[in-house]
Amino acid sequence: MKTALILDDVPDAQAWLSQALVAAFPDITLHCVGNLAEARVWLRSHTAPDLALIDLGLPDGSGVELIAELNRQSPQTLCVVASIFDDNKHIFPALRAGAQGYLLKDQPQAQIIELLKGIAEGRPPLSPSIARKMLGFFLPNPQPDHEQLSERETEVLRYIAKGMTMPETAKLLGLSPHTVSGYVKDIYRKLNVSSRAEAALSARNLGLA
Amino acid sequence: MQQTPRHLPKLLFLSAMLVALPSHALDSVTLQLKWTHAFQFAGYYAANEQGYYRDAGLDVSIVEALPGVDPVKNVLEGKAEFGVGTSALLLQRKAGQPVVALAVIFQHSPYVLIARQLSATHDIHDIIGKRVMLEPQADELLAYLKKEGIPLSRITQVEHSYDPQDLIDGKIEAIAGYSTNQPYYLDRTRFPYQIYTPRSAGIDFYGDNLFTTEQELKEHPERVQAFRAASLRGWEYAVEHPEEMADLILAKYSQRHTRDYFLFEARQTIALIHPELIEVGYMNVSRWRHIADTYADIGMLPRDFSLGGFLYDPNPQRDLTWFYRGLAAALLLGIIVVVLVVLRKSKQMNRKLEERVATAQQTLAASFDERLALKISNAEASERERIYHDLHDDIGAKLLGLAISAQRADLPREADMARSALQDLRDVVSRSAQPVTALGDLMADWRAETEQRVQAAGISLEWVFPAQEADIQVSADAALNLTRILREAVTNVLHHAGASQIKIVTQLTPDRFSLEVIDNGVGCPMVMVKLHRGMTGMQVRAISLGGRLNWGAIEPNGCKVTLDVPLSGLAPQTRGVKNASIPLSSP
Repeated sequence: MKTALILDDVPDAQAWLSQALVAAFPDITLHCVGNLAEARVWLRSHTAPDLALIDLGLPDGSGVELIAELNRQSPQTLCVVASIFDDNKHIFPALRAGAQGYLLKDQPQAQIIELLKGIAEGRPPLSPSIARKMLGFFLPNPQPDHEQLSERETEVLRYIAKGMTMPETAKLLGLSPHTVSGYVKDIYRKLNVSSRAEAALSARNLGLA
Repeated sequence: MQQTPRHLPKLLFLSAMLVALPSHALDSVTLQLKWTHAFQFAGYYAANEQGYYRDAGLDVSIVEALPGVDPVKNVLEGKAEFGVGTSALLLQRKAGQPVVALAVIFQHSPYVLIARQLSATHDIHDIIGKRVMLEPQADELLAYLKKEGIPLSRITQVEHSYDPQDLIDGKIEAIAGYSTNQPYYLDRTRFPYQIYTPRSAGIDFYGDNLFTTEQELKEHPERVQAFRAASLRGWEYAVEHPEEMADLILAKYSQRHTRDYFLFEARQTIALIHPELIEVGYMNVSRWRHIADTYADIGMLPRDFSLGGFLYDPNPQRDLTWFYRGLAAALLLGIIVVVLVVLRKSKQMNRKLEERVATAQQTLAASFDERLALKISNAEASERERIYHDLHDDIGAKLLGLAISAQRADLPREADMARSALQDLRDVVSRSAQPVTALGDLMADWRAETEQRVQAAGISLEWVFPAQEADIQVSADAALNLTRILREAVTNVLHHAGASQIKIVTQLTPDRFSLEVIDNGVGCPMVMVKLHRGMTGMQVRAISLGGRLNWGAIEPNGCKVTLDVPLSGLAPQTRGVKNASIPLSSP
C-alpha cells in the first residue's frame, strides 16, 4: 500500500483514520477529502490510490456511489468502508458495489490497524450478520448459469453466521485459516455486481446479448 | 305521476333536438383510454360534461380499454384519433410507429412495486428470490431493478392477475401496480405493505399522457390543437372538482368501484399531476430525454435516441420573415412593446405564482393529516427512519468523537462506554427494523460484539453455545432487551471486576433460555450491585421479559450474573405490550 484516499466528512475521524493507516502502512501517502464532489475532483487529477477508506453517510450522497465508480474505473483500488454503521442495510450495498472490507470507526485503533492489514493481505472481515445476509442473497433461488457459491464457501458462511470465529471455522472444516480467508475473499468477489458472470447474465436477460 | 305522460313527448323531442342538432355540426373523434374508466381519465370526462369538447366543435367518444386491448394499436390503426399513453410511447416511436405526445398529464409515473413487508429494512433487495407479478411492459420497473442491481433471473416472475388479493393471500410477495389505486384495497384490509418507486433510484418517468399520430396531426392540425386544449381545460376542471368527478364517473362511466375508491384515486392522482405547481399538460424535452436515456440504459432504445417529431409543440414558431421585416422597420417601437409586454407579463406571472404557492401551501397542510391517517403504518416506518437518521447523524457523530478522544487520552473505559452507547444506537436501528430474529442469530451477533470488546480490554473470552439449534423467534423488543442485559453485564466486568477471563454460557431448555456471565475478578461488590444504574436497568429489562436476574460471588474468586427467561417472554406477542419505553442506559 503506497497511496490512500480517505473520504470522511468529520475532521476528527479523518485524523483518526489517517493515524491508523500510517500505523498499518508506514510508507503510505495520504489524502483526505470531505465529500463525494471533492473526492471526484481529486481522483480526476491523480492516479487512483491503492486504498480508499470511504464513509457512507456523506453530505452530498452515499459513499457507495464512489465505491461503485472506483470499482469501475480502477478495479485495483482496494475500497474499504469506514462507517459507524455495520448493519446489512448499510454494508451490503457497499459490498455489492465492490467494497472489499468494512470497519467501524469507533473500534479501538489497534483493531482498525489489524483489520486494515488483514484486508490488504486478502483477509476480509465478516460478521455473523453480514454472513447471514450473504447466505440469504445466494441461497434461496439457485440459478444454473449464475455464479453460485461453492459448497465450501457456503459452509464457511454457515459457520460464521452461527457465530464461529474464523480460526474456529477453519478448524471445524479442517482447513487453514489462510484458505478460509481465501474463500471469504471469493465470496466478496461473487457478490460484486460487476463480477463478470452476473454482468453477462444481466445483459442477456435484458436482451442486450 | 299524472304529468309524466303529458310532458313525455315534449321532453323526448327536446332531447332529440339536443342530441341531433350538435352532432350534425360537430366533428366526431374517439379517445382511446389505456385502461377501464376511473379517475385516471377524469379530465376527459370533465371536458365532455362541461361542454369544452362541444365548444371546440368536437363530438368525442371516450372508449375504455379492457384487459387485452392494446390502446396504442387502436390509435395507430385509426380506430381512434387520440389515445392515453405512457412514457413507453418512445418505444413505439423506435418501432417505427409514428406516435406524437401532445401533453403530459401525470408529471410522475404512478407505476410502483408493492410488496408485502418482507423485512422492516424496506430494502428493494428483499424481493430477491421472491414471486413478483410483473407485466411484460413493465420497462420502468425493469430499469429500476437493474439500477438496484437485481437481475430478473433472481426473482420469480408470475403472470399478472391485476388482483391485489393475491398479494394479501400470500400467493406472491410483490406486485407491479399503480400507487394511485392499488393501495386503496390494501389499506382497507389493513394489510401491511411497502411501496418501492423507481423514483427512489432516480428513474423518473412521466405517467399518463395524451397522444395522437403524425398522420392525424398532419391532416387535422386544428382539430388536434382544439382537442388538446379542450382536454387540458377538462383536466383543470377535474382537479378542482374531484368529488363532482367521482359522482360523474359513477353516474355515467363505471360502477366497478365505490365513490370512496374514486376519491382515493383522485387524491393520489392529483398529487402526481401537481396542478398547484405545474400547468396541466406541460412537458419538457429534458424529462423526455431522461426517459429515453433510461430506456437506453436497459437496452430498449439506442443511445441518443432522437426525439425529433415526437413532442408536439402547441405554439409553433411563426414564419419569421414578416417579423424581421417589421423589426427592421420599427426596431425601437418593437423593443418598447416587447419591454412593456414582458413587464406586464412578469407581473402577472408573479401574481399567479404567488397564488399558486399559497394554494400549494394550503393543500400541503390539508393533505398532511389526511395522508398520515391514510397510511399510518407507512408513515410510522418512515418517521422512525427519519428519527434514526437524525440520531445517527447527530448523536452518532458525537459519540464517535467521544470514542476517539477517549482513546487519544488513553481512557479505555470511557472509550468503551462511548462505543457501547454507539452500539445501543446501532441496535435500535437493526433490531427494531426486524420484527423477529432467530435466537441463534442473536447469539452469534452477541459473540462477535463481545469478542471485540474483551479483546480490546486484553481479556480472554470463552463462549459456550447451547447444544441444540436455537431457531426460536425472538421479538424485536425482547432482542433489544437481551442484548442490552448482556452488554451491561460485560461492561460491569470490564470496568469493575479487574478480571482476566470472562466466560459466557448460553443454555436452552424446551421452555427457558439462560445466559451466564462469569468472570474471575474481585467478586460482586455491593456498590456494583445496588447502586450501579446499569444493574438496575438490567433488572428492569429482565422483568419486562418475564425473567429473573441473579448475581453472586463464586469460589475461589469472581462473580456470576445469571439471566433466566421463559421462551414465552421472548416470542413475538401482541404489539405494544412489551416495553419500548426503557431509556437507552449508559453502563
